[in-house]
Amino acid sequence: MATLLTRVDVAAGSTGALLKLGTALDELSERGHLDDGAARQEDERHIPVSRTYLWLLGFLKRDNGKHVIDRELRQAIAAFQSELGMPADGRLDDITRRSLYRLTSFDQQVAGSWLTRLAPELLARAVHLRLFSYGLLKRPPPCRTRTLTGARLADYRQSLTLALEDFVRLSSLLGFARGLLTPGFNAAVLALLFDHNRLVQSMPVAGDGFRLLPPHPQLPLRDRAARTLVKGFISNLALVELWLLGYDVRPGNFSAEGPHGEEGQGSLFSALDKFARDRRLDVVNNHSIMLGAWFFREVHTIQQEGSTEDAFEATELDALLHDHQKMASLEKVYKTLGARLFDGIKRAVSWVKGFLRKALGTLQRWLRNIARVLHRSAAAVYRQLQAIVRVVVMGFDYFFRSPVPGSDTGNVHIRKTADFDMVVSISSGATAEGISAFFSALDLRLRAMRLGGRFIAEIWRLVQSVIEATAATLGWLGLLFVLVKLGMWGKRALAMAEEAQQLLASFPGTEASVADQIIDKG
Amino acid sequence: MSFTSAFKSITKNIKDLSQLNVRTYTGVISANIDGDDAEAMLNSARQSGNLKLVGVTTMNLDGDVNQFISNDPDIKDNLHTAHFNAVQASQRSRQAVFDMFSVAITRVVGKIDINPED
Repeated sequence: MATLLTRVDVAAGSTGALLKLGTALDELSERGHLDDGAARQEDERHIPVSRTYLWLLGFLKRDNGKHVIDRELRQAIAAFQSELGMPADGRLDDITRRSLYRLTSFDQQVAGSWLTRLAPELLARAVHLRLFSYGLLKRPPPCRTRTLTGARLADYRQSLTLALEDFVRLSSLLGFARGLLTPGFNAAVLALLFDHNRLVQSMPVAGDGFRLLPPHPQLPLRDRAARTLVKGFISNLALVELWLLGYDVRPGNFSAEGPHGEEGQGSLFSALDKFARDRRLDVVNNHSIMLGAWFFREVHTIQQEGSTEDAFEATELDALLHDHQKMASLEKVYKTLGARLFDGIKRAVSWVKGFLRKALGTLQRWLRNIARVLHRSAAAVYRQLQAIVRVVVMGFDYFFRSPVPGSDTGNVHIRKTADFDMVVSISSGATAEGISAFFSALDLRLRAMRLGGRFIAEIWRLVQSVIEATAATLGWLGLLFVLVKLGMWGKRALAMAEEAQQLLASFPGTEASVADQIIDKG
Repeated sequence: MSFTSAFKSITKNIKDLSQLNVRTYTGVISANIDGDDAEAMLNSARQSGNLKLVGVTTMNLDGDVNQFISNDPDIKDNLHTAHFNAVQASQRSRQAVFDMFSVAITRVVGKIDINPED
């Protein structure tokens, strides 16, 4: 970071106005130090810089320079997080910001191994930005809203591969790498591409020109094409360095043919002129300043003047990002597990509830049926016992009463004693039908008395048996015996009850109500 | 209540269980021929000619039956039939009473060791 501070000091002496991007980069170098990132998750001072970086990578259509996170920026951050493999919450947290700066700021050394682990789409964007900035590609990274498919996607990949091969050729021609690099998206090539300081420092600074080495054996290049390639690359490398120093230029807008605009502002030459004036160099007197080894010598001097403070340890960010991804993955697993557990418990509870509801419903139906059967049985037993009682009452009414029930002085009148000696008086006005009806009713009463007698005898037998059983056996066995006896007695009583009902049905209506009248009186 | 006390209450008005008497009359029946003096009223009505005797049946326990049936032509057959029905009803009623107490009777009798050879 001290390197950047030194570069800004150089720019501070210039008379030109800094553009918004330069200001943002200054704020980045002054406040956005990676070491204090944990303190604030969404520090508004980082918002403009982050917005610019996202725009450079193609996650935003334009850079509006706002200091607040609006909907577009939130979506862009989320898209970046998604390609980075982080939870896409749209928050500009420390990890997100560090990763973004690392890919885009040109001021950090980035490990090739970290780059190769990135998602292919994000790596392609970052590589595209570097290659474009160094003049190896004509267009900046495509906007994310443009989806490339089919032949266009293949062409895009082919163009990246070819540009990367050009970079490997340049590395061979300018001696950036110690050995020969293997073309392709490998860690060594990517580490070199993403190490701007190393590229600048590796530039040959002896004399006024540049020394070219033998071309790459796998990537042969004709002399003229090599010179054109080297010229464009070195010019863009200087442009990026001037941009980092805070001058009014942007990477990728350089035209090697000459100054831009009437005043030459915003071009490499105007920036070089300002740089030479700021550093009070001899080249400033030349009306058409040319880029040469002097520029990189001066940059080396600036870098040596600066602090030797180490840059941010990439391994630290790597570990942080790795831990964050691991935690996010673990959190996802826990959430999935929790959701499944919750779902399982919910299903189990639902099943148990359904089962209980079903079981209770069945039990309720059973109990209702049992109760219905018991009620019917009890009602039937009650009706039958009631019939017996009525018949017994009528029988004993006949037994005790004199004259016998139904006696009528206008028809038949019977006066009897307890031993059933009878005096029968038949009225002279009695008809044959009346006499017959009387004796029919008398027969019914007699049968009722007989049935009543049998019933009392049965009760007596039962009482006797129970008393004997109780005397003989006590406890559960005695109770069981009594119950058996009761059951047997009930069977006989039910047979008598049936007979009683038939008998009651034979009585005329008025006679049948006699028992009720007697019971009511009783 | 024991069978003894039951018997006492039931047989309070039983005069003679060894004999069964049924008498049947016909004529104009007074409304109050019941009560303690009913027998006297019946005799008075019979003597005055208001009541005619249809039949008298007496049955002894040993099976002897004494029966009087009037041959008065004014007495129709259905009155005789009524008398026989009354006799039958009396018999069956008495049988029913015996049946009712047969449990106690059986128990009492069962406790007595009877040797058929004796």
